[in-house]
Amino acid sequence: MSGVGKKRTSLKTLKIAIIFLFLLSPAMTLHLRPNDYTGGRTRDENDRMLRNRSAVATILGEIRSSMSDIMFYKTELYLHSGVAYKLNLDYEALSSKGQVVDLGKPTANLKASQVSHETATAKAPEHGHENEPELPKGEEEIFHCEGADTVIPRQINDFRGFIGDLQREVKPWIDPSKPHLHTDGTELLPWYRLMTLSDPHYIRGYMIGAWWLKRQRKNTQLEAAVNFLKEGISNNPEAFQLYLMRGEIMHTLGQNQEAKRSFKEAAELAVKQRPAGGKISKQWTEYNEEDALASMRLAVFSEREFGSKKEALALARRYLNVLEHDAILENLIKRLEQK
Amino acid sequence: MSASFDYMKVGRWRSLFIVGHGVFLEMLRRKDFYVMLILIGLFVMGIFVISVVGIDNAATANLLLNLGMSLAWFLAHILTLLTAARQIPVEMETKTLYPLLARPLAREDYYLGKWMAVTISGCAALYLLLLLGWLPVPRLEFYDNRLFLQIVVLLTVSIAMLTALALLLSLIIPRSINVVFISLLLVFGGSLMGFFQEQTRRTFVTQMLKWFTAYIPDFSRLNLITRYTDGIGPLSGMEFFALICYGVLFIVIALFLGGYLFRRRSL
Repeated sequence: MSGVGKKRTSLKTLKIAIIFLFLLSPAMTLHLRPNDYTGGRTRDENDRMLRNRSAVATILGEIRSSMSDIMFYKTELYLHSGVAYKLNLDYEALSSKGQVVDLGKPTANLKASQVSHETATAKAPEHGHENEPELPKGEEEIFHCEGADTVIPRQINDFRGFIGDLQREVKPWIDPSKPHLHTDGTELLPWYRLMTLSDPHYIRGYMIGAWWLKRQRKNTQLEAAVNFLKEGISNNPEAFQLYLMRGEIMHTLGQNQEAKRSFKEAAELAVKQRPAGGKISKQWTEYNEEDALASMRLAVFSEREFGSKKEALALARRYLNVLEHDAILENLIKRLEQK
Repeated sequence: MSASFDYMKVGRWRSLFIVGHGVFLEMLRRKDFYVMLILIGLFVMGIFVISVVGIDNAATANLLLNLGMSLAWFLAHILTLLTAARQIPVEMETKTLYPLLARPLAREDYYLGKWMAVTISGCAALYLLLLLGWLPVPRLEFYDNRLFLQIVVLLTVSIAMLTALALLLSLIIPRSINVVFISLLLVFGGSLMGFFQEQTRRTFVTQMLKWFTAYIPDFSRLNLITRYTDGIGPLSGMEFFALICYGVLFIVIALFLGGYLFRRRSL
């Protein structure tokens, strides 16, 4: 074969090899996910609140660097019926306990200035077996006692004159000194759905979305919450808070064995992830510690109620060993030992 | 014999240079590059003003850094796309292609020259814009420099991949549709495909569909800016190499297909 012929043949062989490699490439590329990681500053609730409450964020309006951040801002708007408030909700409290809690004046250390408000109906649900009281029929909005700062200032604080007046007339706006309104959360649900679609590792998105679904109180919504959490768990199998929430909703639905299993899974994961002594840090916040405590207690309670008392006692001792001190588990162990 | 072979090699490189030189001049003459520079200049001015006023906290600085780098990524890719999408169609419309091909310039060389020139121009724009989007923002948290270097390499591959794809599609579809289609793929392609791949159930048909979506280029895999600003560590050597191979494979396939189509096209 001549030199040119040999060159053509080897080029042809090379092309075939490359095409073959390309056809087989999905075997590798489907597993190539460099942006598939958990954690990170974008998802940190403390960081989110700090950046969303900064002057830069106010100037940028809805522009953010990630879709989930943009949608997060949208949920704030929808929660307040379109009125733009300077971000003031404690989303860790909302995701952990379902409490709509307003924060005080923004500071670098957010925990120092937390102010909680009672809802018009009753206290929001704590971890446990309390039933939520029914909202009076037709009452779709929850009123809060004090207002919070709006992005559009009040007339007395506004140097812009008639332009400011025009903006207050045209844009959704409530005088911040008056009580502000929260909607019932139905309109937020699509945003949490989109938030978790754009970022499947945004655990708080799943938790808060599930809380809002749970607030609707109907069985169909509760089942939707369970499916939503199931998706969250499949994308984040190490997120113990999702198992905890799932257990609570299963209990509300009356599926106690499933609830017991969820609580136990949550507790086991919490034990694995909890730092020694429950040391609070950026990675392990106070809410993580509370959720971990709740998981362990509920795992023991549900085992005692719907399983075996012997197993419940063994679990209680094991978790107490991890926690070193917990009055509730200590009391429970005493009672179980007496029996 | 060897002297004439060397002369042919030099001649080929010279042809590629001539083609590339035209692309560089055109890019400098058109307004697109200067518009992008103005936009990033506005961002830089904004950063200086904010730095003077004071950045409240590290989270805000992180947001600004991510915005700056993402803006640089977006502008560089759009500039490259606009440049690549009009290369061959415009030359065919204005009939400036024929004198070039009348020289002893093979069609493959012309095509390869266009790709090289647009890629190099795009990369130059990318480095400049990335520097302007990254440098002025104060860094109040830890960011891994190794990951930054990986970002630069992968974005270079991304620009080359975009150029190859845009050139290929410019032979098949009208220019405006080409630009719109690739822009949508650039911005939303990763999320849509990721969503589809996550939702597929474990049936044979859906798994096959999932396999075929992997043949669509996913530019988000080569964009690690959010990973960088999130404070996550660099990629492992294997993963980094695999991503480069991912990009190179698409580039080679697009160039082969494009070269083949251009060679067989009646002008």
